[in-house]
Amino acid sequence: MSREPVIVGIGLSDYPKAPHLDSLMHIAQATKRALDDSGLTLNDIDGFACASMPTDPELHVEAIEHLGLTPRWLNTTYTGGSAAQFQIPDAIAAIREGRAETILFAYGSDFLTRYGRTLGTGGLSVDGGLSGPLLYEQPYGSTIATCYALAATRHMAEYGTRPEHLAEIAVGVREFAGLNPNAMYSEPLTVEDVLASPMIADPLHLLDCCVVSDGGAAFIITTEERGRDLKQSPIHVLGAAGANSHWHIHSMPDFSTTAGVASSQEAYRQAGIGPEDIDTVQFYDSFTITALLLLEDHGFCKKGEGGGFVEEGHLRRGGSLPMNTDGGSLSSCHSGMRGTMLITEAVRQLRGHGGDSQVPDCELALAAGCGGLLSYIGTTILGRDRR
Amino acid sequence: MEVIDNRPWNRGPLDPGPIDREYFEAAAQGRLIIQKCEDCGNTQFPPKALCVSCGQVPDWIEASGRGQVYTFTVVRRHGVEPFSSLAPFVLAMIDIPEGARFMGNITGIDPETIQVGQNVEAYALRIDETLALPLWRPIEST
Repeated sequence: MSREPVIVGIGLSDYPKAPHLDSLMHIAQATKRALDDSGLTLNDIDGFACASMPTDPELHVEAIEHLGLTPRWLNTTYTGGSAAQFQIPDAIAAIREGRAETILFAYGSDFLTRYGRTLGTGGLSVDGGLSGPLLYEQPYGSTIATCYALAATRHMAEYGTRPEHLAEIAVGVREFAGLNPNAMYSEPLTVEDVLASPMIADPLHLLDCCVVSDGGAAFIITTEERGRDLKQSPIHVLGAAGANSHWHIHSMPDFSTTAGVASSQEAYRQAGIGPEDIDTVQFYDSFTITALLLLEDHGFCKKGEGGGFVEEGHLRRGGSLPMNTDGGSLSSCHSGMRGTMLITEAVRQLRGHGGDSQVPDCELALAAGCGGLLSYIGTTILGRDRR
Repeated sequence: MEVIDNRPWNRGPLDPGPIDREYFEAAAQGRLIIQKCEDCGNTQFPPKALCVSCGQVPDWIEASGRGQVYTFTVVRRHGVEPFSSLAPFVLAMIDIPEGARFMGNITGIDPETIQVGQNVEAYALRIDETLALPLWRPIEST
């Protein structure tokens, strides 16, 4: 009986704008859809992975109550947008060791409905007197967007990366968004459009920044044995690892390199493959620079050569490494912590359910989450077949 | 470093704890300080009650107040006052030779001309009678 971990169900809640749902209901709806997709029921779930954001600090325990779960394995690790990627390594160990049979991962947020579009430019600033590490950032007007802009400027100064390179990332992701009827933005984009959009924080334009949306996602991991007689072809979890370098941007050791170097090396080692074997990537694209750094740090090109790699069109539909085939967070859906959605989209591709966005002969997919401010990078490698 | 007294403070209330307070109080006296651990030699910023390297109580050292731009951005859109009115303004990371990296604004320079490697010096903006916030401005050489 194989206890190797497989993903057997995926589900997304209503997005990108869902004023009828709060964060908890996004989790409930995505969970229902993932269960229906798999053929499992809530009674089968004995493990639960869910990270609460500071804006919904008790969401994980509220979700357990709402769903009526009594998990014997529980992981609520919070690392921002890479939380799912950081929870998967322990989940697959728990599956292998028999500490859990079937684990539900779920995330949901009503970010757009609750906060509007101001997340990236300071709309979540602390009320009252500042204290702690933010004393050394917020009085200078630091926002989420400025932190990523600081990394982009450094990369450009060190390696000659150009605004056109970053814009190409947004253009390629938008092409996939055009094939996703739910995507927040689907009109075709050009590099010129990106460069002509308002500058938010040099060198990042409006269209270098992700959307702010509502949305949730869920997926289910169980044993290969259990996965055999369910509704979908099981997708194998071949490698999973996380690594971190800092939390606040002022403590980032090197603004042009992330901990994705370490997380990807460990994930590749577990999977017994290298970047040359990957058919599609689902990268956290909170900003275009996020995806560029993940691309380099996962070894798809050398450090500093990401701009040229992108310019060659590899990440586009029909390219050698199609990226963010659901329209990503740049164009489709970003409700705060998108790591769970990177997994659901990778699974959709590996099942061959991608429709017009399907990556041909898709056997291996890599999903990489980025949490905090380029702080916590998690890498998951999924495969259509056991290797 | 120079302390500018005549600009009204509008960047929101600060409520520093005891260690942080020492930093902002020193700035109000014209000194840019970082921590150095006498036991292990580690320098650290932002300040902490204990050395991040060895766990001992670190001392303070005064920095020269000069540094170089490690990276920067020009903030064009901001969702919160006073920064939305201040935009465009420069937000940068500054490396100092004593071994620390600061976030700060660089003023007194055309935002379109700033570059990585630019030499800057610290000055301080008065917050109240006892506290001030370090900022940066360009200089010709270090």
